[in-house]
This record gives sequence, C-alpha cells and structure tokens, in this order.
Amino acid sequence: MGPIITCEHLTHWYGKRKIYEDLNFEVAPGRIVGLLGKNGTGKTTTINILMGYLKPRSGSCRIFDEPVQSVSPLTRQRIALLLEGHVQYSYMTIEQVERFYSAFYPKWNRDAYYGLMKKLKVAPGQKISRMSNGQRSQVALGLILAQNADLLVLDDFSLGLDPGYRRLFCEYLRDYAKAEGKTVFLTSHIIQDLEKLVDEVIIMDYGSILVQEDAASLMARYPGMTLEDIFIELTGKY
Amino acid sequence: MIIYKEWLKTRWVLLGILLVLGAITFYCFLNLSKVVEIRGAELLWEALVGKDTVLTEILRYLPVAAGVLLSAAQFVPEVAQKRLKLTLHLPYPQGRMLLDLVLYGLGVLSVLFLLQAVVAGAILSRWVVWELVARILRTMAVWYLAGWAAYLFTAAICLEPTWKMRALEALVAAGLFVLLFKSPIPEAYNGFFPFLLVYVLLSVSLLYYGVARFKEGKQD
Amino acid sequence: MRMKLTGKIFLWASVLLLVLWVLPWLYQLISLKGYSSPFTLYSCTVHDFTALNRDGGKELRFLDRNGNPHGEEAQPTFYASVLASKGTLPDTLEGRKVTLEEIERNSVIATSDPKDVNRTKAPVYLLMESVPVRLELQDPEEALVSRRDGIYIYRLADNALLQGKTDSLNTALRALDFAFPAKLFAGNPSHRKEYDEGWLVTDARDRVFQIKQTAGVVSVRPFPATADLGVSFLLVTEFENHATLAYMTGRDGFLYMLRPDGEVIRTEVPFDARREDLLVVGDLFYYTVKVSTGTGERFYALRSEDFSLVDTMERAYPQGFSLPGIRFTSQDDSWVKLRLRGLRD
Repeated sequence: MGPIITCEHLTHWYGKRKIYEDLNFEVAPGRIVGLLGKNGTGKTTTINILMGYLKPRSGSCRIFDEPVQSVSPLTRQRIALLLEGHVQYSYMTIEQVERFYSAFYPKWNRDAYYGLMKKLKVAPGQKISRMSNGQRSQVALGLILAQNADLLVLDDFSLGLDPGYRRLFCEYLRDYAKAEGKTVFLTSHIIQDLEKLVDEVIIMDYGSILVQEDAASLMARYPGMTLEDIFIELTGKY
Repeated sequence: MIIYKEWLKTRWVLLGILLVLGAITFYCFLNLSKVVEIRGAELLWEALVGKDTVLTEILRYLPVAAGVLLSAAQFVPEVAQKRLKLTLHLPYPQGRMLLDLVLYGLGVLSVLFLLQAVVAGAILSRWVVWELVARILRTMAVWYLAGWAAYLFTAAICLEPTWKMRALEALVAAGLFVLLFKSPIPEAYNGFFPFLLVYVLLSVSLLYYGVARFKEGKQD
Repeated sequence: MRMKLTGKIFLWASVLLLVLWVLPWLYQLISLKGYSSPFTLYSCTVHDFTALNRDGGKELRFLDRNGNPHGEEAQPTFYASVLASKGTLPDTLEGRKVTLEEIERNSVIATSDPKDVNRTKAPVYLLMESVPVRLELQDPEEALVSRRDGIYIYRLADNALLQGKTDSLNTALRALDFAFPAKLFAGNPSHRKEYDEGWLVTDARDRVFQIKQTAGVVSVRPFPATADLGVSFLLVTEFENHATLAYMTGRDGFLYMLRPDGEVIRTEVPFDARREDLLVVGDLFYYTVKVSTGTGERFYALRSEDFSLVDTMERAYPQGFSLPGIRFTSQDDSWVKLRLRGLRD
C-alpha cells in the first residue's frame, strides 16, 4: 500500500500573509505523524486542506490516493476526524450521537465507545452541550475510536484535557494505533505529550517547515533534550 | 439517519410552529364563524366577491415565519462552530446530504401548510361555494410559496461563509418577498405562479453554492 | 460542481433582475411630476369642449378650444343646482324649456377602468331581488355560480344549491339557445341604487342575455340585436332616466349602447376596455365620452337622444422619460407578472 496521505507543493496565503510555501510530506500506513508548531503556523490550515475544507493557493493533496477535494463517501468511512475544539453535535445526548454515527460506519465498535463513556459518569439524557470541557472532549474521542477507521486525523486533540488525562490518552492512542495498524495524523501545540506518541514529526514555523524527520532519529541528534526542548530550540523564543 | 438528526434539532421548534400556526388559524376561523353566526354567511360571500379580500389575511405571513424559524433551527446549529465540517465529513454523498436536509425542511413545511389549507378548505366550504374556496386557496398558495422561499433563503444565508455574500443574498431575498407580497388582490399571481415556483425551487442551488464556497475556505 | 455554477448564475441573475427592477422605480420616484388633466365637458351653450381652468382663484373658468374663458353658464346642466340656488339657471336650453328636476334626472355618469376589467374574478354573481317587498332594494340572498355546464343558483345563508330554481334557469337559457359556458357577467349587486337590472351575460358566442329575479322568479331575456356584434365588454348602467341598459364594445372595437328595449346603437367612439379608461358624463343634451390611456385622452361629444357624434377632441399628456428595465405590476391590470419597461413608460 502506498502512502495514506500525500501532499505536494502545498502553498497557501491568507491575504498577504504567507502560511507556507512548497510544503511536501507523506504519511505512510501504520505511522503516527505529528504536525507541531506554534499557533498560527498553519497546522489547522493543513488539516482543513486535507479534509477538503480549504482550497490551497497551489499544490495538491491526496488521501487514500483520492484528491482531497473529492474524496468518495466510501473512503470517508475509513477516516476518523477530530476537529479543533472537539466540535461535535452538542445538541445531542451521548446515546443519540452514538445512534446517529453508528448508522454511517459499518465497522462501528459500540463497546469501545461505551467503555469510554462509562468513565464519564454523566446522566443518560444529558446533552453534550451541558457537559464540562473535559467530558465533551472524551465524547469526541470516544466517537473517533468507535469508528474503527484506518486513518485518524486529529486537530489539536489535547485541547481542554487535563494533563493527567492527556498522557493517558496518548498512551491509549498509541497502543490502539499500533495494535490495530491504524495510521494517525495529528497536530498539537503541546509538545510534551507527543514525545512517546509519534513516530515522525513535522515541525513548522511561520512560513516554512523546520524539520521533517523520524522522531527517534531527531531525538538522537539532540541527546539529553526532550522533544519540547528541541522544539523550543528550533523555533526560537517560545 | 439524517432525518433523525434533523428531527432532534427541530422537534421543539416544530412543536412551537404547529401550536402558533394552529392557534392563529383557529382564531381566524373562530372570528369568521362568529360573523356567520351573528350577521349571516351572506357577508362572507359579499366580501369575497365584491372586495379584494380572502378573509384569511391574518394568516398571510405565518408561512414565512415558519420557514425562517424551521430553517434557522436546522441550519444555525449546523453552521455554528463550523459543525458543517462534521456533516460534510460523514460517509454519505455531500450533494445528497444537503438535498436530504432541504427535503426534510420543505417536506415538514409542506405538511404543515397542507394541514392548514385542508382545514381552511373544509371550514370555508361549509359557508361558501367551492369556486370561492378555490379562490381563497389559490391566493394562499402564494403565501405558502413565500414560506418555502423563506426557508430556502434562510438556509442559503446560514450556509454562506462570508458576510458580504450573505448581505447580497439577503437583498435578493428581500426583493423576492416584496414581490410575493406586493399585491393583496386575490388571485393576482395566478398566471405568474409557475414561474415563481420554478424560481424558488432553483434557489436550492444557492445552498450548494454556499457549501462549495465553504469547502474552498472562503472568508470575509 | 454543476450545482455550484448553477448557484452562482442564479445569484447574479437575481441581482441583475433586482437592479433592473429597482433602478427604474427609483428614477421614477425621484423624477415623477404629477399631472392632472383639466376636467373637460362638451358645453350645450358654447357648443364646444370646455376645460375647467383653476388658476383664477374662486371663480370657475371654463376655456373653450380657442382659449376663450366662460363661467358656470358654459355648463348649466352640470352646475344646475348651483345656478338654481343663485337664481341664474336658464329656463330654456337648446331651444326647449327645462326644469331643474328634469336636468337632474337626466344626468348620468359611468366609468370603466382597465384594472377592473383585467383581473381574475370568481365566477360567482350575487343575485338581487329586483322588486323588493319593501320599496328599498335589499342585500342579495342568492348567487349565480357559472360553471361549464350551466349557471347554478345558491342560497347564501346556508350555501345550499337551489335545484329547482337552477333547473328552470338553465332550461330557460337553453330554450333561448344560450351556448354554455357563459363568458362575461356584468352587473351591480349593490342595494345603493334606484332599481336593479340583474345581470347581463354573454354566452360562448358573445350574445347578450339578461338574467333577473323578479318576485322570486329568475327570468331570462335575450337581446337578438347583439347576436353578431362579438361583444367583448359589458357595463350595466342603471340610471334614473333608464337611458341605457348597458354599454358594450363589439368586435369592431367601437362603443355600443344597449337600450332597455333591446335596441343597439353603434357610436363613433373607438374604445378598448382592456387598455383604456372610460368616463361618460351625460346630460339632457349631450354625452361627453372621455377615453384615456397613459399617453393622452380623446373626447367625443354625442347627442343624448341618438348618440350621434357631434364633435371630437384630443389631448396628449406631457411625456416623461423612464429608465428601461422590468416591472411586475401595471396601472392597467390587477395581475403580478414580469413585464418589460420601456423608455416611455
């Protein structure tokens, strides 16, 4: 199988501000790739382009070898998407949202979802909008995992989660991805969680890519430094 | 399943619309029945034949209100927090998805309007001859069309990502409503109605235009 | 996507239509100058058309076509009561003795507006009792409903079909060779008049019949003299002097008078009810018939006894300029539909 995601010569500007120019990267099957960068460096832009919510100035991307602006519904079944801010149908309850989504995904894993939900301790009829930030994030993550998708795309998944839970989720995600052979493409601005999670890092700065490398080899080049330290080093002042 | 989601979003608004529509319709015909009781049905015939009225003018703007409210209940949650991204990402053809949303809304509205028209027709035919009832219903048809238009244009304005285009679409909508309510004369729109119907149905394309622009990432 | 393109075209086409609609309307709003043409009547004393000129203050001044001014005495029949109260009403006009009562009894006014002709009417016509028990006319209690296969009579109070009356009416109509469905109905179902002539109806072959209810019996009367006219417009006139039963226009585009005895008189007045306004002001001696459109008006003076043409006059309105575009309503009809607006609208 070829690369799950391929992006070539991606260039995008917001008005007169260049986000990046000639960005190229690939995500191989079974890999966990992290797109790291400070706020405003184009992480969400990249997710939006990948998911077909933004047309880049130039360049192209393919997912499962289909152009991202016209991915077929069948292929979309294989992609689980977590939007920035854990956006979801918050006018639904936990049960309603599960009932709704499960109809669209034939490989839906009900137990994975409810397993996570049991830990939430919420009243059955409670709307997602009435839950705390952390609870809402967990619902969104539960839906992602239950989809049993081949590719997980997570935009800033750590938003709203407390540090303890974040670390727990990173471990869970890695085990899950590796065990099931899932491919993961994620973005974050909180670096410390990702050290043990990602296989590859792409570090972005304003207007360009600083590093695109296997995580282990990157860490080896900066012995004694955490990923976060390396990130600060490379991007200058935090 | 799409219907399920739309139902969850809209059920309370629908109940509200049904209650208000029902109450005002009831009030309208209660008044008319009082007129018939106290002053005789002759008055209704005279008004319908000799004056430019269809006796149900109080119902005139209800379909528009219903259309706007239902559309807002469906599409505002869809657009808030850019949740449209979730809906578009579902493994279901995006074009069909949008059509399903619209068919739900227009379908529900049509049921409400049909209900009102049937009730109106049934009550009125007790008092006046069928030709006059038909005159009233043909005149009310334009109000129902305006309700559909209100639904579609509200949806289009919600789905359009930039405020500039929203303003433009609102302007076009305003023009359409001025046109649809321009003449209070019964059956004034008879000949033009088919063209108006086609125009309103074509306005569905505005929703697709908005979604396409959303997918390109158009912003103010 | 095709839908995206359709949406784009739809939006910009709509904007274009909006501009074509609103701009000319705005222009007209800004540049509209009011114009009212002076009230003009044929004078039985001056024997010319005289126009009421108001810029003299309180004195009424009538100008004839040569510009000569006249006072109220130029229109003695129109101002008869005023002149009588001043004691200046002549007792002889046009070579015969006249009284105030006779003048007033023979004054008639009739109008027609294209807006009332060009509208969708319900085929329901309220039927009065033309000879009421009490002297005054009563509000109608029944209605004629015209359908493809006949004219049905309903009682208003309970929406009941009066089968007996309906059957006799349609039998009577068929006996007179009435061709269904009926086309035009003309009448005035209001109790605010002296007497009721019921309804004048044309059949599918444009022949005129009268349907009237007298002492509870609905009767039909044919007008054979209208058989070949191709009547396309009917206006019932219920004047105190019974001068005419109705005005009509025929296939030839001229105004006809229908007398109560069934006599049909053709006038020299060309008139298209669908496009032109009609104002008829008649007195003991002359009828002044004004036919007007948006661009001007034509006057015809007819002799009252036989409607023969005595004189004519034309007056054009000052023309404004308007922006071309579209509009949806018109002064001349009651419909809403797309129309083009020319330079001279």
